[in-house]
Amino acid sequence: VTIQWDGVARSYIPGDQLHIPDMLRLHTARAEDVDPVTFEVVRYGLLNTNLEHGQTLQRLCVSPVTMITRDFQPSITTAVGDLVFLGPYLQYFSNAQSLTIKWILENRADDPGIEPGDMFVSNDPFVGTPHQPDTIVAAPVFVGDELFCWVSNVLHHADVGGSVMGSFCMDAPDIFSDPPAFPPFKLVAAGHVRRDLEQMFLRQSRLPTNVHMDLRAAVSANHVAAGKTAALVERYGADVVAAVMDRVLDAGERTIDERLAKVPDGQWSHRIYQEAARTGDAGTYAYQLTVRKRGGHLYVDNVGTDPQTGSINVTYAGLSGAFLAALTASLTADLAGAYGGVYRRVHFEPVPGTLSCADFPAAVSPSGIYTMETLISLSGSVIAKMLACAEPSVARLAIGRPIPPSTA
Amino acid sequence: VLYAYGGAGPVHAFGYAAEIGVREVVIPLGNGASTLSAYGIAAGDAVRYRELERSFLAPFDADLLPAAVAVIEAAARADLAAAGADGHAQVEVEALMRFREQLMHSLEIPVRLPAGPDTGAELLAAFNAEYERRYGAGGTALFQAVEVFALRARAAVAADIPTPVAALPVDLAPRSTDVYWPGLDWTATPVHAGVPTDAVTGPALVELAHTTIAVPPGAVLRPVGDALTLTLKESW
Repeated sequence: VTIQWDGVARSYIPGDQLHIPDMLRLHTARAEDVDPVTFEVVRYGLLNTNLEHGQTLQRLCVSPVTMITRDFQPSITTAVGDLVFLGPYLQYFSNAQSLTIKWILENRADDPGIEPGDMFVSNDPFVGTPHQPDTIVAAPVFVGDELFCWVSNVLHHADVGGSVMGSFCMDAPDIFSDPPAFPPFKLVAAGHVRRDLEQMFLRQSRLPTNVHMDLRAAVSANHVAAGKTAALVERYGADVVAAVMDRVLDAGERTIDERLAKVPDGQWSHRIYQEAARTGDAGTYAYQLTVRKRGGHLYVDNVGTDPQTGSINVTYAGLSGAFLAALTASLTADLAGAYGGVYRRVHFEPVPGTLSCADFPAAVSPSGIYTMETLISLSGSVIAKMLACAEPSVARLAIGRPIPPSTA
Repeated sequence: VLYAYGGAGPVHAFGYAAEIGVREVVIPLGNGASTLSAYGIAAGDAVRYRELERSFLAPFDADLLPAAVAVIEAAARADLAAAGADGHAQVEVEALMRFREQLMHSLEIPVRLPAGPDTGAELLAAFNAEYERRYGAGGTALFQAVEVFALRARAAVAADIPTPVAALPVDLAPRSTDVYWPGLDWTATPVHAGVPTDAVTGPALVELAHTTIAVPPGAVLRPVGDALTLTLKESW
């Protein structure tokens, strides 16, 4: 039986080929030859766009969780939602943005349409966010009438509703006691903020003023990043910038390929137990992860993980985001956020209905303070086991240099 | 490529360029050079800044805000006088503004002097316009109070130090002087005055109004647009 990863009954998992309605025209032309100096200038321009994007978020936000703790992340993706550069903040938020943008491409291009000046908002865990407070704002960037790329961000909002202040609903038996989950909606239409939709989102919050300011900060920061991207296109040409994006992705893929060549084929597993699925519960619950390495590819599953229960679940966005964040931190941190090419070599084969890949209507809102950390730790352990078997040059990336023998 | 500016940069550039393996040195001419030189700093205006941290929430009080501007303006003038700068002080005041609670943010909005009952409305309009210019119309958060959280005054008196004549006459028959070039000992070296119109091959010194360029043996100095480029030989 084929599992339907539809984003409704189960988590959304995009296929290898997205089904994007024809009415949305994509920019597909590429410059054939980009000289090395132009390549580096444009590459750093894209990298710096994320830095300025993040700094703008921090300056304009007012909630301590964003303004001071920097619980946010900007990204740039290709027209089809593949990550060109992640920002330097919370890494798994970029995976959430990529998933959500792909969902928008497949489900919103025909109605209400994806047009210049639009921005989409979503905090639906079954579409792409790790939990409801981590709200995505995604802005398509057009060149003429062709979709060129996306700039986007996730901010952790101080309160987006649910049964308790702060929106970490420990006692939620299911998502109906969690904060509401909004599938992607067009908050900004052709540059104009839709007040009706904005009020709908803010009405769920105990801190509507803070959330309002932070939501507008997310819109403003996307505006700044889109402007920087448009300036790069203006100066170097759309075909050149697009070619640089492709080459950045290819270079990331080559890097993971070269490093995996120094890791033996094999299979590594790890299991972590968590106590209590809700207040007063005395149960223990298993999270398990296995990575199989075959040639230049990694296959990841969560077989052995307990069925979803209580509020200690995450959806696919959480599972994949945790593994990818741990992998790039261990193996390719020197790519400085250009991880989209690395992601091409990771294939997830999750078991649905589990703590780490829950189906609707599982509660997930507390995941930001424990299930995500559990899964990052679990992923890090599996990856460390794998890299411990690698040649020293690769093992060192994750584990560090061997301690020299004592001369005492 | 190395960028050598100011009074001392082009004197020493050939030495440290060689040390770090750089063969091309660009020496800018024109107005930028003085702002990057010690002479330029010495000849600059005498300036005192004064800041007053005080919170005003929009809509701004028609009396309190201009009164605070007058206080900070007078304080900056007094500071400058106390520092011994004579002459007519020019004072500029800017308001540091943000939406309330944006603790990591500030926009510096100029205050039209003398401040009066309209100052508050002018600042609010200018803040909203600047916010929209930087961050787009979608970010202007009219629901949140705008705040002036500090006023900053800059009082300046022009320094009485003359600016050097920009261009010296080109000396067709260069003088000669003995220069100690590292590794070569004392060497008779021609001294050119003014911006050269043709390539100058080292050893040579080129004296400009704001600096002297040392062209070591084997190096070539060429005029290129509004700059000079010094190309060093591989090792001298």
